[in-house]
Amino acid sequence: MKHLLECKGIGYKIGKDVFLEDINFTLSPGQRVVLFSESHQAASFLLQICSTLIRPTKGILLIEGDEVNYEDREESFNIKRRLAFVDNKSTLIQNLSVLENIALANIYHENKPLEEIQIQLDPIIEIFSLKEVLHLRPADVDPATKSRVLYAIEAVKEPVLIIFDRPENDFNENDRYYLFNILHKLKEDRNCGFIIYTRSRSLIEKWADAIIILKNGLITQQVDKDSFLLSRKQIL
Amino acid sequence: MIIASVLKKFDYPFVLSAFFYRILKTILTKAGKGHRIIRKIIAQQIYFTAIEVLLLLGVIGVIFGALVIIQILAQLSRVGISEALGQFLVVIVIRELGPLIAAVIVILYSGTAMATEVGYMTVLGDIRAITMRGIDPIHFVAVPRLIGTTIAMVSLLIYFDVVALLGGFIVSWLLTGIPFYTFIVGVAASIEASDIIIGFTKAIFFAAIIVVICLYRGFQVGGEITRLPRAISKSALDCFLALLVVNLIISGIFYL
Repeated sequence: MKHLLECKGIGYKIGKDVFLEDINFTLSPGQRVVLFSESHQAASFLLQICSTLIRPTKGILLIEGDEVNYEDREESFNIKRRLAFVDNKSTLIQNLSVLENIALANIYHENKPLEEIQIQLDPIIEIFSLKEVLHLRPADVDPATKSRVLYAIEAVKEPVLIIFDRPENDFNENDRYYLFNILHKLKEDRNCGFIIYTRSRSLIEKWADAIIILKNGLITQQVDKDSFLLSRKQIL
Repeated sequence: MIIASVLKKFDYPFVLSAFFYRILKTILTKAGKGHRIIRKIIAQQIYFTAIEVLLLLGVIGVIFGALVIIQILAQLSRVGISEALGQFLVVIVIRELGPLIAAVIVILYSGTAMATEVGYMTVLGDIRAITMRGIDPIHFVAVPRLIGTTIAMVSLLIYFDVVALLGGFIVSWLLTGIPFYTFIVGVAASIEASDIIIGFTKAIFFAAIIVVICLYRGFQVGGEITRLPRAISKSALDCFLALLVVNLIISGIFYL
């Protein structure tokens, strides 16, 4: 069976600063992996490499069995269409309305008018309770709503691989059910693979299959959820 | 090492050429892709570059045509060849200064705005957001601005030439009583097909120069907002210098 994602000897450094050394792991369809790292920077670089936003300085990355060719711009854009990626740098496009932000990828790739696309997007808009803000500009919506829009954008791409960086920061305790709703929907509809970098105990409890521990730029351990939670009782 | 650093200082035109090539290649390879939204951005660009400056450019054109005629009349009345008014107006307005003035207006109004907008898009993460939707920012941002600005520039040139000639006629008529028919026949007799072709050639080159420089400077801002003001002023200056050089080259090739 083809892996959704495969990291082979991935390394990343900027100048003399080494952030990732020799990362090897695979992710299969339906698998839900949580990344745990003391260094947010290293974890963030690893997630950006997995989402093909940055290029590793060492090693190769395979997505759905194919090695990522960073020279082929077209292929790189096609890969990004199959990924859902949200991190703390993700933003909305300022001069588009909330609806246009959500629908942009579909309008562009499917060449359909916005009205037609909106019908397709209704279930996702419903899940995130965005009906009231669809025609507002990003500057006019509150940060919590903005976060929901960001996740809605990624969900409508119909991705196969989900990469979220500290999603607990985007949803407060009251709103967290939005996140779980969309995670469940993506799992059920498309059997996606998930890599989530989180320090949230509840997210790990409810969502993780396995934990990857990243330390000093290396994956030191892959452990199951229960033993991880037990060993990290103090910090999570 | 020293040679490399010296060469690096002169690589700007080559970097811009490579960027322009990438935009042209994208136009060809992605023709028809996302046409609905790309057409909308092209229309917005034409509106912003051409329609919004019509009044301003009209006033400048009329004043400019009038000033040219005042100077020509001041010189020509001494030698008694006022019939050649049209010819001089064609040479000065249509061949040389018309395209240049229209281009300067486009730099000031649209070019700097483009550099600012794209600079902000890179700083605020819009370009990253576009990329993450599987959309090539060159296709989504640069291509419609190049096409839109080129169409706007050619339209503005025609408009500027017409209003400048009109301004020239009004002053000629006020000062010499020259009938409209005589004036227009003089202008028509002086215009050659090559003048029109050269005017359009200049407009297309100028539009390409403005868009490529302003977009490049905007994209170069990266994540640092403090680079933005410098990028805007540099883009305006670079555009102006490039316009003069290209104008000189095109005029030299066609008229010498």
